[in-house]
Amino acid sequence: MAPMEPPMGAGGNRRDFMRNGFGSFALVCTFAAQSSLRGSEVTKSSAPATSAGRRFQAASPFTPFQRDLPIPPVLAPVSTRNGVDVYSVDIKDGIAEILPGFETPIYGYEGVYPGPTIRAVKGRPSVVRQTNKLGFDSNVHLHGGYVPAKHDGHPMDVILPGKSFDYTYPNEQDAAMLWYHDHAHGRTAHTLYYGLAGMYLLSDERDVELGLPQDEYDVPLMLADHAFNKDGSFRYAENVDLGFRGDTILVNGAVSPRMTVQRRIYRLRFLNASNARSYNLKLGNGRTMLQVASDGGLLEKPVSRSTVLIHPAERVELLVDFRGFRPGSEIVLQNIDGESPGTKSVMRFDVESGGGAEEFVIPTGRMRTLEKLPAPNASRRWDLGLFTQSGVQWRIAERGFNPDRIDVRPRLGSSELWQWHNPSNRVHPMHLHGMLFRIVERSTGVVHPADRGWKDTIGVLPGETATVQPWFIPHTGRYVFHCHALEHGDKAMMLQLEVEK
Amino acid sequence: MKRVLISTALAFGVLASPALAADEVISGLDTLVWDKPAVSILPGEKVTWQFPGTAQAHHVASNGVDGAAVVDASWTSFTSPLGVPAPNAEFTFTEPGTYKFICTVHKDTMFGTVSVGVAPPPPAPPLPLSQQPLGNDAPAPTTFEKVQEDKAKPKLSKVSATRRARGTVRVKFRVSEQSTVLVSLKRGGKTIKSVVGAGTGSGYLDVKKVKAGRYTVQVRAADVAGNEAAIKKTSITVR
Ligand SMILES: [Cu+2]
Repeated sequence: MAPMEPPMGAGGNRRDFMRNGFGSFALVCTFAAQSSLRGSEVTKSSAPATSAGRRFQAASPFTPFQRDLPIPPVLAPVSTRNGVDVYSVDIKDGIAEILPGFETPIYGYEGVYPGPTIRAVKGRPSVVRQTNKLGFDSNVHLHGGYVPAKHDGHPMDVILPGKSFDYTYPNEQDAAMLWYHDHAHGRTAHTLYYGLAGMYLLSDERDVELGLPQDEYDVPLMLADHAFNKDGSFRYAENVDLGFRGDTILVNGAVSPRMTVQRRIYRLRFLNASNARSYNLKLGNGRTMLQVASDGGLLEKPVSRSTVLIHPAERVELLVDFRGFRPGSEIVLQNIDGESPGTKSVMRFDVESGGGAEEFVIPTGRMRTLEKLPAPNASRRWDLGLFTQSGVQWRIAERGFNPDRIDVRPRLGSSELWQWHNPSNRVHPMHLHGMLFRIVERSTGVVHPADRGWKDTIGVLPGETATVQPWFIPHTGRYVFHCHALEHGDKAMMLQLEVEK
Repeated sequence: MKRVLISTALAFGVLASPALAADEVISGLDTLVWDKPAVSILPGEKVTWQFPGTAQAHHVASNGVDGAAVVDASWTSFTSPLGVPAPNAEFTFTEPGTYKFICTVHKDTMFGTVSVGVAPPPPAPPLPLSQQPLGNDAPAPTTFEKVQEDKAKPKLSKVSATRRARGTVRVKFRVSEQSTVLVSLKRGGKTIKSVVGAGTGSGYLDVKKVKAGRYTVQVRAADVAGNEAAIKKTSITVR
């Protein structure tokens, strides 16, 4: 039996005991049995068989909470030699079963939606060979990554049909939930909608030191709204003003699914991969969730939340503690900003027994110390607006995208204050490639504690002026910054910066 | 709004025409369709586009013509300003032909035709299933949680301690549900040794390397939800 030693950082105070039980004291082993103790544990039901049965009984393919949450496959490296993980991915057509009994044609990394999850480790570079087997240009952007310009997936750097490109990712930044998606010029609203998005989970030793849930208790969740045609295909209609709005919420490619959870702590990592929809998440009737991370990884301290607003391309990582619920309990995660029944139900958590003793911990203190930025050496104001010259277009500072023009030339290592000024009545999730920023000020109120970590995307609200401070590290070269409402970014809310030595 | 209308009309050199019964009014809607995507008029008649009560940006613009009609050149550059709601726009058609209009913000769904003095285009054949919407008909959720919180304490029973091999104390117990169990050997109020285990039903934990002496054995159990059982104690002498 394990001798009792408090793990590093967990402490042994009364508060930890209240939150974590004896689990906070040590890694707990199962005590030796006199009789068959395991007989009373419920084995996890095999998902496919039961869900197939349920699907047949569902009144409509849109009935929520009928399908078990799918977990995208984790991509296996083709080589791990010399400390580098090498992956190979085909960008190709595929068929997904999203509505039971229907086939939905998609574009997919490895032909699946969501694309396979890449699990990378800080300090171990990865190389992803992407082969374009589609009939048109494609490329891949690692969103949130510190990536050399050549490998960033700039809109004009494309992989021609039939060709490959080896994207090299240094993985030198702190752990964060990144994601990868198509970024070919003018086409992202179409290609992401039809499936070209996958998750990239970069981890480091801090996750382990803090005792954050791992493996099956660490769950990536990709949110996206869609609409369908009668043959099961995705339905898309362009809306340059509002951006696309679907009447159905998919989580990891399933219509408002159910997720069976044990009486454990879960790390739920949400990515909003929708074209343009923002979500306002609420658990049950307003149960608290503990946010531990945002776009750029861990927050300095966990933040307790009862609702969570997540704009396109943002990530929010929440710890949810299901230990206090008896088996059979059901808790819905709703989108309280949904405008229709189908856009209100995100997913449901169904509590089952089993899972044994909790070995993970809910952090209570400091998780991370954020680096101090250098003092800003310039201030810029970017006006966001809709124009009708040369077709209908959103613009930044009254400029559309021009790949032959560099709009900002900051020095490597410097920082600036960027003021996003949004007099329009739409949210603009403004995203900077290859670098991170901090939110400094918002005209709509104080910066929420959960928004004080490293960010790569900020949802600038209607009528809001928001100031961010980007830090132009770690690479020189040409990058873009743009609105991640994809219909806005494609038309033509995107400018270029070149970080110079 | 009135001024916008006049300036639009003047800018494109449209002749003011007397109101005719056959003039058409077309509404752009926030469901991203035109209420009348195909209208027929005679040369000299007027079409007005309006956007009553809309909360999304719309407008109307020329999308060219169908067929080789003699076209009023001003149609080619016809476009009205965006707005929420957008101002009304109008155009008086003088030449026969089939004129196409569009809202460029919603080009996949907001397009239509004005047939001027020519036969309207035949009704389109029914769309294939791949272009007909399959709307989400799920009912609105009403219950957001069906929850039973676990507030019940686990039951800890049958606590006993026995000497095993040299310096080892085996502490047996029974817990009524999945719990984490903490066994402590105490002397003079101080914890000398302790062991943690987890499980359910009957079990035991061995405390090893215990020096000779008389100890109080304390057993605590907390269930998954953190509810603690009443503490149980016994004693043992290690030789
Ligand atoms: Cu935008």
